[in-house]
Amino acid sequence: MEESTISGESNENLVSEIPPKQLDQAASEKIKLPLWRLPLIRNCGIGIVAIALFFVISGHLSLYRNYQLAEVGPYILALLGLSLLVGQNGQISIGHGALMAIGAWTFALFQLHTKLPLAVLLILATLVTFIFGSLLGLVAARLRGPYLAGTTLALALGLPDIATRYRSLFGGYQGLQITQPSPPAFLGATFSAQQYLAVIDMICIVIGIIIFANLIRSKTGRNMRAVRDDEIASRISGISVQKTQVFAFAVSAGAAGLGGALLALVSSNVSPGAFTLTLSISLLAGMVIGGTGTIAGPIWGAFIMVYVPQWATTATEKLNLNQGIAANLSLGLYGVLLIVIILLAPMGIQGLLRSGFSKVVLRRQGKLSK
Amino acid sequence: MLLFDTFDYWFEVYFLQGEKKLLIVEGLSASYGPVKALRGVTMSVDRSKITAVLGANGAGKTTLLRTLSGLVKAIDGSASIDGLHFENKNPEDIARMGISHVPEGRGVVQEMTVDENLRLGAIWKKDFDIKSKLNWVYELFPPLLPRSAKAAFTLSGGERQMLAVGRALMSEPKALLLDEPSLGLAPLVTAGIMSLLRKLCDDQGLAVLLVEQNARSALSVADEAVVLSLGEVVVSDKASAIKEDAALRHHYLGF
Amino acid sequence: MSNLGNFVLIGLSNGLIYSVVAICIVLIFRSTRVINFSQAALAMFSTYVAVSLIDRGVPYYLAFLIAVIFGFIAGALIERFLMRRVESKSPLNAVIVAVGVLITLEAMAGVIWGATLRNFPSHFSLIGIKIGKSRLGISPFDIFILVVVLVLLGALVFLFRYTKLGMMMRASAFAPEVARLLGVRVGRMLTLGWALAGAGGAVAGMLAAPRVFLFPNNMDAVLVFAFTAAIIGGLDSPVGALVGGLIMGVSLSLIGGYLGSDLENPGAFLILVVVLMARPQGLFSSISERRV
Repeated sequence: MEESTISGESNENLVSEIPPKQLDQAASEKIKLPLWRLPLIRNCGIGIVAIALFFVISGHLSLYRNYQLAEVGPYILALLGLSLLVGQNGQISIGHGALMAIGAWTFALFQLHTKLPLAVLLILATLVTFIFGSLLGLVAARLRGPYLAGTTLALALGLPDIATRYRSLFGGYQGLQITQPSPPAFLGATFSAQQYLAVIDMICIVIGIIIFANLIRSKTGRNMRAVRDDEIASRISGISVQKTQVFAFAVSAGAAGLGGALLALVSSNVSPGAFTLTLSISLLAGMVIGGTGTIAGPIWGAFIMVYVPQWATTATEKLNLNQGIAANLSLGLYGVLLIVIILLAPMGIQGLLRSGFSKVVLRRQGKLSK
Repeated sequence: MLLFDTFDYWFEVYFLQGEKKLLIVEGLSASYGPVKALRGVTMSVDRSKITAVLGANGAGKTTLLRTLSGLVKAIDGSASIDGLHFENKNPEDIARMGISHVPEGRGVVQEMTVDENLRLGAIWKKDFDIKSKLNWVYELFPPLLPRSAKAAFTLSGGERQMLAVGRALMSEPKALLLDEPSLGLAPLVTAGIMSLLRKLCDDQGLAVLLVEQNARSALSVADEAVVLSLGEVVVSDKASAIKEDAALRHHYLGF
Repeated sequence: MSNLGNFVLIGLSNGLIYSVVAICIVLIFRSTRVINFSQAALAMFSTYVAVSLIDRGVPYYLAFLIAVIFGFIAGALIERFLMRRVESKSPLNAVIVAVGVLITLEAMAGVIWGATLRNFPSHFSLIGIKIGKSRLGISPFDIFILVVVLVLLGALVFLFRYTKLGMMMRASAFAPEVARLLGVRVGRMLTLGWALAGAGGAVAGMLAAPRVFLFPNNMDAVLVFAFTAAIIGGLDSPVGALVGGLIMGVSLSLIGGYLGSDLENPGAFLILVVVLMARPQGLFSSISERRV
């Protein structure tokens, strides 16, 4: 009985891919997979290829396009965190905007008062938010559903006011300025700051996705889903519900903190106006619209969060109305779109794509008539 | 003798059918997603009779009741009470046609008082003497009276079952669908409720469709019995006949 | 009159408005397990309807009544045509649709009435009542608020305790499946619940407008405080919502008065955390009893 030598981290992934014959062998002798089939290594490989690809593509895009892409990145990370928390662990947070704010201010304060390199600043922002998230997670682990939603909502409402209150430290309404890094010299003189920001974003996102993908396949990820589906049953099976929930909250917060730091970096400023309750609520909307708990969902969600309002604004500007009415029309358009998307795609865009895809596959196999 | 028996039987079939049969179910099918839980169930429930629905776990007993009361939508087949079809109706309309369903786990509204629960039973009835009906239920189930102002979650299991059955009787139903009334109750309490139902059947022509896990006790009170297996009717006969069929009992009912 | 006394009185008066909105939130949460974020927009919209009627010379009380009827109908329409489609799905979807309604209605109000702040004509004086030489912290308008809220609560208690309709609504909220088996038209009861919440929201909007002024998202802050109030009270308890609203009102008024108004929002978070750490289900929730 040596089947336990398959590590708990990866067997879920492996078993489905190994033909039965090999599985029999695995039961009798140690499984030996080629290195490239280990999930972590495979994912890292895909990630590096993706970054390299993006690096090349972004070189051909205009400055504005690069800037637009860089704008989306922070939200992808925050949504990844939120999606992990809500989709995998079943805890609802309407306060991820506040967690982004913590990451952003941490980044700004360290940049202002120290001379640490960019990567260290980003890691520090993630770490501080992670710690704050684990404290908040301790509170959250005692609360259920709407109670947790309300508490995080109150946090999202209250936190920006702390920044205005303690002006000397956090900069008040104006907030703090951020110096954007110039691209390192070895990338060449033609490498723009915008492209550099987009590439930094991309690297962070890839790291975030790799962690997310591996986490949900790990034992911890299974524990999270078990806790989400049935707390009592998980407890009986020996899972520490509190530990799992606090950990999920902390990781989720860390991702949001990194997102916040990137947002500060891209917009070269941190101010309370950027982290209002509205941000937290649209993060939640973006997550649901993208597809809760999925890996690709946050990407769809972030693009919708950033581009739909922009698109609505340009669409209404063409109507030549007075400014107040145009602004409200675009807001209304956004609201209507939220409703329509949820009604048409209750499982989010990723859910829609997935069901569409599986229908195509079934049709190919002739299992679905017409 | 044989001749007369046969004659009796055909007489019943041809002339009394319309009168005797209250609930007629034909080819009823229902499913939960891709899982077919009922596959063309055909049966009938007579007036003044207790009909037991028996079978193993997952045989479709509860689904049958839930489909009859409209909680689960039938995908095929028909069901009628007194000749009126109701297979595609909503639960609230089916209830108003005279079918009372007491769901498994004593579906009382826990947050409301005993009195409110009972009143709820006939709340849709217009021009209805609810007071005298209430008194009648309290007479049927004396333990409920001293608790009438208490919230239902304070009741014991047996009292909750009495409350659920009492509430179902408030609207003067033609048919009563009971799901596992004996679950978790002391045998004495179950026996009390059963003898009461027997009396209501005899006196008022009530038809009872009784779903039971405990086949032995159900067969001892029922007149007719239907045995379900994997969503299909395997046998439908007099309860006494099924009780005597040892092979059938072993195979489907486990005793 | 001391500062403390005045802060408490102002807090109670604000708290009553939070209570009304909180009760509406509870009303909907109990029956559909949805937190209705569109409540704020309904309240605001109804108030705008009233104010444009008043501008055209309609008497205050009539306009008030029409606003309430408007809220009632709008609430019913939202439930029937939007929420009904998402109620059976994940509660998060329903919340997002409610947020969508909130944004859409606020934008509509901005288009129709303009996004600028406007004064709401108060029918009663907002200046404190004079007793002897000192002015009290409560004005005639505060007394009007108290009377309206008491009437509203009385009506709700009467509806839910003593009428057949209220009994059916409660049964639909507590045990929808059982209610349907008893012949209660649960769908209609849900619509009615949303309609009542819409009407209650209109009342709250009318009462809040003279204080917070009128602009398309004037009720957003009220909604958040009302939501926290409902949570403090236990989310499925109307009494809890009333008490929670008063607690929120008084504590926020004290925090604002003594520590500065920019600490009100962080204060709301702290109050919530303190209360929930002591009682994670809120003060008056019956859920724990129900699970026994």
